[in-house]
Amino acid sequence: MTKSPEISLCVPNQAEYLRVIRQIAMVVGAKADLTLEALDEGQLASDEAANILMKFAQPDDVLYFDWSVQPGSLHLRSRTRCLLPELPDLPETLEYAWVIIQAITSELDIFLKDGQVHVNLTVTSAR
Amino acid sequence: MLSPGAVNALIVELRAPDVTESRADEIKSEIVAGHQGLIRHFIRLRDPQIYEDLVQIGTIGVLAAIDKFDLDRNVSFGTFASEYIKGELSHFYRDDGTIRISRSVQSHLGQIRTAQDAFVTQNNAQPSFTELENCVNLNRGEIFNALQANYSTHYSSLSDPDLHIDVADSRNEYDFIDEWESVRPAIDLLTPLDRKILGMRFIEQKKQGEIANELNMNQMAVSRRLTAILEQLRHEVDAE
Repeated sequence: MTKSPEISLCVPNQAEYLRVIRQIAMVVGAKADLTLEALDEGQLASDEAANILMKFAQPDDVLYFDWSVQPGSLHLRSRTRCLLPELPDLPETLEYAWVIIQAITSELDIFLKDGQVHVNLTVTSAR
Repeated sequence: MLSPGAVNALIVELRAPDVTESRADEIKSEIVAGHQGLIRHFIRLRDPQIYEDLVQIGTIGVLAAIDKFDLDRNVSFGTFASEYIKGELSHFYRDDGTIRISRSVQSHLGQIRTAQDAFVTQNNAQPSFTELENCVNLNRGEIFNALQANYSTHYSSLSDPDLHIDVADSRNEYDFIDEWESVRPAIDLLTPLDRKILGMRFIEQKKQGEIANELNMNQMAVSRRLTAILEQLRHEVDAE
């Protein structure tokens, strides 16, 4: 996850930008030469990451996304401001979304640092 | 959007024997107005020339749902109405035929699907994007457009043979418990095929390619169904 970003995006905390996030994930995923399945799951994982950030962000906050690639892998580092002193129990808070994001990512790290919640993940082509 | 409790209260009032005709109309209008966001969500193909017509068609779905909604079922009205809205829109797509993916994009999707199937048969593995690109006579932009269309056609694909794949309705086959509790009503409304795909992917943790192989589908069709299923689940959460 140390590679410099292939593409960075910041969007307002509004659901209408999810489509943009998905489309960028697809284009960047193609540069990683993912399979169509991984490409699809890269979009889904980016979408779920955005939804997780939205749960913790305030309405006027901004969501930040950095995608980078390695052959066969798509990495996403995403973050937004979080006013909570600590994150709640994630499986309990995210419910089914937790099951989904865990199933489609090969690496997943959600943490709070310096007043920001971070969702970092990797989707890998399984062939 | 009206809360599920507010919709239920309005429907109780609507069905009261002493409700006046004008009040009944008011109630229906209020419920329809409260579900405009839901209707617009399902209108995926945003052709500005017929967009408002599609909103009207979606409205017919909400009105039908008002008539049929069973207050004793443990399902929110939004979830229930979603099926009717999608049904009305699908009828329109099928019968009217004015809303379709362009022939060229359909043709591109067909090429991608055929190339993907041929690659899997030959190599027993899913092709990477570059391998797929090399198998079809399409540029990257055309492939992106076709894949985007694949994800957005799940409500208008009644002619899709994959929708008619028959699987046993083993409602209790998968343990959709705990984490799935908030979306259980939406899971209950899924078709047997969709419930099977959801269980295979997220309970059995099978990859899309494996699911496609077992159900005799194409990976892109599994992907399209999963996209639709997850949208339905999210609706359930948003409706709460």
